[in-house]
Amino acid sequence: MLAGEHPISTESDITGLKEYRFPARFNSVAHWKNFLLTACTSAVLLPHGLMHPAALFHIPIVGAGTSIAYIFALGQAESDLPIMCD
Amino acid sequence: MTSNGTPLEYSGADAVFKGVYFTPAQASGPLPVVLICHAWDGLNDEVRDKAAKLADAGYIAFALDILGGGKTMTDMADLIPTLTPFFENRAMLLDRLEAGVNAAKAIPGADLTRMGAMGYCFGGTAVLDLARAGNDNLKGVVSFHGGLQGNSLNSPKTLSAKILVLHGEDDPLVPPEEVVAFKKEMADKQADWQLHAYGQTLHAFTRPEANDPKFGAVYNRSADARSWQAMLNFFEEVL
Repeated sequence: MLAGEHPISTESDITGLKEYRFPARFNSVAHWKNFLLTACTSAVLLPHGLMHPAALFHIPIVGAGTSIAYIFALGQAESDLPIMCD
Repeated sequence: MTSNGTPLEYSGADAVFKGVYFTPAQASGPLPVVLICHAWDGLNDEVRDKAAKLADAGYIAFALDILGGGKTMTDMADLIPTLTPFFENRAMLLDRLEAGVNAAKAIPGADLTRMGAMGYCFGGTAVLDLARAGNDNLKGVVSFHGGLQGNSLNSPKTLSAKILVLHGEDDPLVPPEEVVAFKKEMADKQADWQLHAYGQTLHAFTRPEANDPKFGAVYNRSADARSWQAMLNFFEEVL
């Protein structure tokens, strides 16, 4: 949702979110994806099938039902530079 | 020599697909058909070359467009975003593959009683999913350095398509435990399957451009040649 499409939340709206629980689900990281995420950081695979910490960035995006590509499109990003908030 | 590729646009599932098929130049009578499933980067010239080469061997070689719209990619940054939707929704992947199977039925001169499929990397996983689904049209499938992880879709108790897996023994994308799980899956399904593991061989061993040892993807000329011959032997037997 783009900024400006909703009224600004009140303090009670915010505090009302305390202990809010998002719908939980299990999400396993397949080996191929863990391998590629690890390779992106120029690291080597962690032992015993441990997930690379880069997945901690990736999984919430998947869990939110979006993708990096969508976020880039939303931000009209046309280069490799990061999206900045003015 | 083969004819030039003939574009074959087809639809199904949720998109429009731009496949292409090649036929032997001296074609006579109905011919066996082999579907070709591309790797993560789409139906590019490398796949077309493979299809043309397969047509030279006497098959109608139909290269599918799984990504849709004829999309191809070269930027490795697109790899995970491209593959994730298919691996998280194997039903969607299967729908797109079956759209390709149905499209093949429209190819002139195709002997629909002799149909197989082969694929590379992601496409290797794809053809295994076709076999897992028990698609009765397919007599045999061949996976080149494909992922072997199973899916949770409905599958018949036994698999009718014969299966050949051509695997790099040192492929870091397909670790030994995944191979073990695949063998058990095939045994449980009473499949007619075989797995050729090429020693000293990494991922993408059929792709001449692959040259990244750190990433675990390196072209291997002998494994490329041996695996191609193994595929031809297999299709000669089953189609």
